[in-house]
Amino acid sequence: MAGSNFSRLKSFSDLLEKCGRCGDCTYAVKVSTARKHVYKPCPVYNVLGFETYSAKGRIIILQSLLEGKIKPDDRLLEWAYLCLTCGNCKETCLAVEGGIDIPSIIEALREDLVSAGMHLEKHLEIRDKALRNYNPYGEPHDQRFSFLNVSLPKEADIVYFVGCTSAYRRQEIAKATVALLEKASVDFTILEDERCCGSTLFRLGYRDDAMKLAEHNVSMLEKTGAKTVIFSCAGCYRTFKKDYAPLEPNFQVLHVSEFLKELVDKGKLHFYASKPVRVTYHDPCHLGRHTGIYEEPRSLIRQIGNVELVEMITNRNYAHCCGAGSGVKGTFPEMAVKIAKQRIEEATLTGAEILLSTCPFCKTNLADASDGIAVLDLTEFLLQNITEEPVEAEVKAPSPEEALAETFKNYLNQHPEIFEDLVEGATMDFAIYDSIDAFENEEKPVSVFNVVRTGNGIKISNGRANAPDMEIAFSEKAVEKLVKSKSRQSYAKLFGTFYNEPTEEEWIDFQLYKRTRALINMGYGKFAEEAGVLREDEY
Amino acid sequence: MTDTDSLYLELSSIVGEENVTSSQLDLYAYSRDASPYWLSMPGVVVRPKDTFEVSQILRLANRTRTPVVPTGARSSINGAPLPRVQGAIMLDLTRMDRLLDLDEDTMTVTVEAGLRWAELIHLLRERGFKLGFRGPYGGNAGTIGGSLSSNSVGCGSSMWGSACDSVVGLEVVLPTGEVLRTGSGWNPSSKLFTRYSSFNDLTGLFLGDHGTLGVKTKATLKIYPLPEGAAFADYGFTSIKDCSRAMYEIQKRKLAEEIVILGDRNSIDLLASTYLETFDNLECILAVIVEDVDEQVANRKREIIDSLAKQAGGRALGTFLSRAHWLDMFNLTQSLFDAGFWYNTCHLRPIQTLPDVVEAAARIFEKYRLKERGANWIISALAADRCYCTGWITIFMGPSSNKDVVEAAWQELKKIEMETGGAVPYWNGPLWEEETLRRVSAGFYEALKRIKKALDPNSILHPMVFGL
Repeated sequence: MAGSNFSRLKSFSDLLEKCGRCGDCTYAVKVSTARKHVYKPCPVYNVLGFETYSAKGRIIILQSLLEGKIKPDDRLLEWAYLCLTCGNCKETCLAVEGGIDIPSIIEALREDLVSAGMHLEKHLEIRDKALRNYNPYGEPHDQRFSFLNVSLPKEADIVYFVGCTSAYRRQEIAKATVALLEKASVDFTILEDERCCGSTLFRLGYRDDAMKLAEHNVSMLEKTGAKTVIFSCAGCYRTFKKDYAPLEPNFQVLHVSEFLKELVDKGKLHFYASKPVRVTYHDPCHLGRHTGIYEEPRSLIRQIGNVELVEMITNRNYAHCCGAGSGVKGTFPEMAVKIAKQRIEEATLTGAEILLSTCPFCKTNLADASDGIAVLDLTEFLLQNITEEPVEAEVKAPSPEEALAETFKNYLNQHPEIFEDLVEGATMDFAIYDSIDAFENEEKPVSVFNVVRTGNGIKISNGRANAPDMEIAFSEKAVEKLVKSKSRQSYAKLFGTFYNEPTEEEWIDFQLYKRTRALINMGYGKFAEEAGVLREDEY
Repeated sequence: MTDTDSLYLELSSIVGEENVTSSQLDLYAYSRDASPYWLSMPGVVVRPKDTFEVSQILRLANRTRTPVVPTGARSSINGAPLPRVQGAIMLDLTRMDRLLDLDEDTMTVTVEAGLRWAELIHLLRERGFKLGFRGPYGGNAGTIGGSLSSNSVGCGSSMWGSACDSVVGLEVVLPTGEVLRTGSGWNPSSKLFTRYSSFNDLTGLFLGDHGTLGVKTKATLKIYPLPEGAAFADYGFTSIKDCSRAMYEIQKRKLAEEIVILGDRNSIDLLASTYLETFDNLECILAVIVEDVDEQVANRKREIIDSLAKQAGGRALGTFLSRAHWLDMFNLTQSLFDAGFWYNTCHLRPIQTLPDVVEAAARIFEKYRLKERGANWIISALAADRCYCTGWITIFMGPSSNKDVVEAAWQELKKIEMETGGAVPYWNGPLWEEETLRRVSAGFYEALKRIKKALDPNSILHPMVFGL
């Protein structure tokens, strides 16, 4: 290829060398063997069937490309774009902490190809539209918000960044978001001259062009005096949070699920379904794996009365992509729908009536593939079930399980020294189960909260953390005894006993989410020693 | 080969155009396994969906004298599934990944050969059953067919032996295209429930054949009820000699599902450095996993193990390592990849000879100054069936500038291992072939050649493997 030495790709050479070609990225099913929700991670491989498209094959090809064995041609160009950059392979990969970063590596390759003048015709059209009309669909810029009949101030602390897909293709999501903000009496506005966030261009390798859009949007937002910018599009959110980082914008970036959760927690919004409904939730790659938001959407769903949330076999950080990402929907639409059909099948297997997501692109592709289950954005579902006042008595006596969890939280708050060997940011889910079988079969714990090591102590929050290092599972009886410990030493001794000599009633177990070596470096080894997990003694 | 060649077109007509490729890009993706080897590229990759298609492909290959290389997920660390000759048809069997039958009457499961071990474990667990041998340590990707072709040893081997020990019968497509059912399957109206009946054990011909005698399309494996009890124990030792003695005493009584050794301080440091910080004078760790019908039996077995370990000089270190090892099955070795690409020397040896090989390995690591160069190693051993074990000694390259030195150390290590304590590799492939072909007796090799000639007269199946 004239004009390229693959300089961006080369910067990943050392990382490529870390691949041991174990094939986990392609084939792994870790549901029973390691209690992880990994199930054949690569959606493109799962449809096309050749390893050429999974991370293992990609790495062999990229190494061969850098060694000059493979020459770039049209086939390579097409292959470069037959990747969703969903990051499921990265999440599954254990070769380095965090996994080999295939999404960044593939984007580097695309940028190298673009720099060398190699383009897919379709992508030139998209770039042209994004730069000329300020949206990749080529729709008139002056009609971007013509569907929104709202009167908004010119300036506000909070700006809702609508995004191209909600503005031109999924207006119901923008309408629902605006309605929810109004219901909560949020003082917000929308940019008069909002332009494409650049996500598509970033993902396709047109970084320089995308940065022009980024600079415009940041400048406009800063002019409004925005303190917080919220997004109903996972793609825009990811772009602002990660791709805009070099611009160092002076506003906070929140996905609408994060923002709404805060409003719900403050009692400003209430939801209740008029009849019982079972739903499942699809994690958009850009909200989940790319930016680490898993819990907020689930928390919002769980607090809707009469709604049961059930998980698909792959969920959270191992969730399969919907198939639309990284330009695949626009470039290879048939394949995108084939991938979405597999996700729809997963959703259908849960018995849910509604498949929820938090991204207009996911909604479009999943809806295109669905021949049964309803597909809705979370904002739409929330709006459907909004109530003026709380329907269920929100103030009720805590159940015995809730009371036990509260006692445990209070105890830990009073004994932060238990966690003093951990590095700042270390995060654990504390889950209390009614039986060891419930833990081993991955059933719902009776109570779960998370503990984060902070600079000067610990912070405890309800629910699971977005990215915990591990889950510590407790039996109720074990917690009852632990909270009576008088000192860190006696807590540790008891902890070790419950772990090393578990009984049916009193036991502690772990589910590790990070590699053992990384956990040791974070201080968990010392923690385990202090807690009596590692001990030299007589049985 | 182009997509207009007659062979390509005939293959397309058998498996469908979307399941055959000769694009250079695709061939590169299929040109490597998890070993350092890069041999010949395949000429074409084909993804059959069933036995009939495999049979048709082999008939075509026989007619056209085209070499065929059957493969699974190519997660092997020995180079075994890589073509040795140009232009071969690579059979990618991973599309054949169904659980076909679970027979509770005979406690067997019949699967297609391209199914992965971890997925089979998941499918069985949902139904309340477990395997004996669970899969190689790379069992997330490793296929049943791949393991049976290469005599894999791995999870569960301490109690249940190698992958091949779990087989009741096979369905094999012979190089000439005929389909053979082994074990009690010689009788078309019989279930596959025993490997040994009435005639010779034809199953054994195809186990460990590295894809040279037939293409395994189905396997019938033994299954067991899920255990109700489990117990774990870690022990520290001040010498590999004492640690090996403990493994031997425990293993000969067949008490544990898995017994594994971390064989020197460096290996402990690489995998579990906290143990060195926590416990003084720790040279080796022995981790033991027990599974049984209930907690009482499992705990009683652990008590016996505890006594045996302590008699051999062991100290109890809790249960964390053995639990983490077992509960994170198939996810252990990957975390070592960031120490650099791996050069392994997996083989089998009597347990009592472990100290000799650990000592010899230490001398080689010192001679090549591996640590100073930023390379690393791990010495581990897994008890396998009666009283032998694996010698899992692996060098990690560190920076790629170490390649030549590490490869020299690796070659010397392999040679020394074969010269120490009567060791044999369990699998072969380019990893071991130089050593095994140098040592194989003339009579054994001649018999092998005759069998190959009889079953594969045109030598189309994985030519050049074993030098055949």
